[in-house]
Amino acid sequence: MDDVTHIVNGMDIEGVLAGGEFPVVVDGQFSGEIHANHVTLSEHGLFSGKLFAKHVEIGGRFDGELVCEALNVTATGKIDGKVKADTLSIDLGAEVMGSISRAT
Amino acid sequence: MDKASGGKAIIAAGAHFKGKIKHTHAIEINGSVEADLESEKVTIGKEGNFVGAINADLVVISGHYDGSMNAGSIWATATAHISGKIQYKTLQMDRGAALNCRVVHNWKPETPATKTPTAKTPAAKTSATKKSAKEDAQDKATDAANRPDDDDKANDAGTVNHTETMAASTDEGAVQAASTPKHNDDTSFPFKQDETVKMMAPDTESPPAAEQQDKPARRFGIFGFASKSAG
Repeated sequence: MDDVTHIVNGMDIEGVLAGGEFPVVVDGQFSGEIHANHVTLSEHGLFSGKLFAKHVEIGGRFDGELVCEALNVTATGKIDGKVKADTLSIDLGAEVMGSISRAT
Repeated sequence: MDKASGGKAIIAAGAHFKGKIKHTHAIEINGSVEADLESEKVTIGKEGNFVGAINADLVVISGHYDGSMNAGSIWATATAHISGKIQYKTLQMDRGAALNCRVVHNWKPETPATKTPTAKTPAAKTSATKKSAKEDAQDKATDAANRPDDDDKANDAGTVNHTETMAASTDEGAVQAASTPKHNDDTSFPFKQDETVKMMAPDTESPPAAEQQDKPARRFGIFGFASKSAG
């Protein structure tokens, strides 16, 4: 639990986050930039900005630019923007708008 | 929003954040953060490093802090390094904590400890002089037998003036003393020791419960003593 950077629900955060080796969970509101290994945007999460990571799971609302190796958009996920991903999975019910391309 | 959603926000060790943090219930910082932070509780872990302003009810510092902090209570544990400026209502320092900063008590403007007596004293003085002027006029009309009485009254005015300033200073002491237990009564106040211990870095050994419970009482004792001696 302590080895996760956790932006909890209700929290409002703005800026640049370099997550280091530990995973980042966004359950609140984040605007800005995240650089991390593993990022989860959970159901209540709201992200706007740029996200660079290896593994990304989107269950909340994402606006902006997303660059990653593996992306999984769960059923509650909403994406609006530019996505660059090598491997991509989108669950039934997810809303994805914008452009999708390969990262490499 | 859902502030009770189980949780404390965490900036993990190795993470680096720069920006603004708002509307947080509790946050633990084990990484490096350069930000302006508003939160009810803030914990800066042993490895944590925080630069920027903090506005919080309780701050527990075990790591490095640099900036301007406004907090109801500050607990600097043995590994704390603080620079900049801290403004607090209650402060606890463990042996070994390093404070290299400006330390200001009672940062809230509602309790202007110095203004109250200075505002009252001139008013009291002018009323006293007015009285004596009136009495002088009376003295001219009446015979000399009243004069000792007049002196008494002048003395009375002097003592009234004195006691008023005394009262003011004891008021101020009472405010100081009262502020401490008020915190402890507050249910949200995190010096409920269990919680405070939880907020600390979990690897530090939590002191025995009995000793923990002693601490607020002892602090109150110190404040009580200080205010008595001031009065």
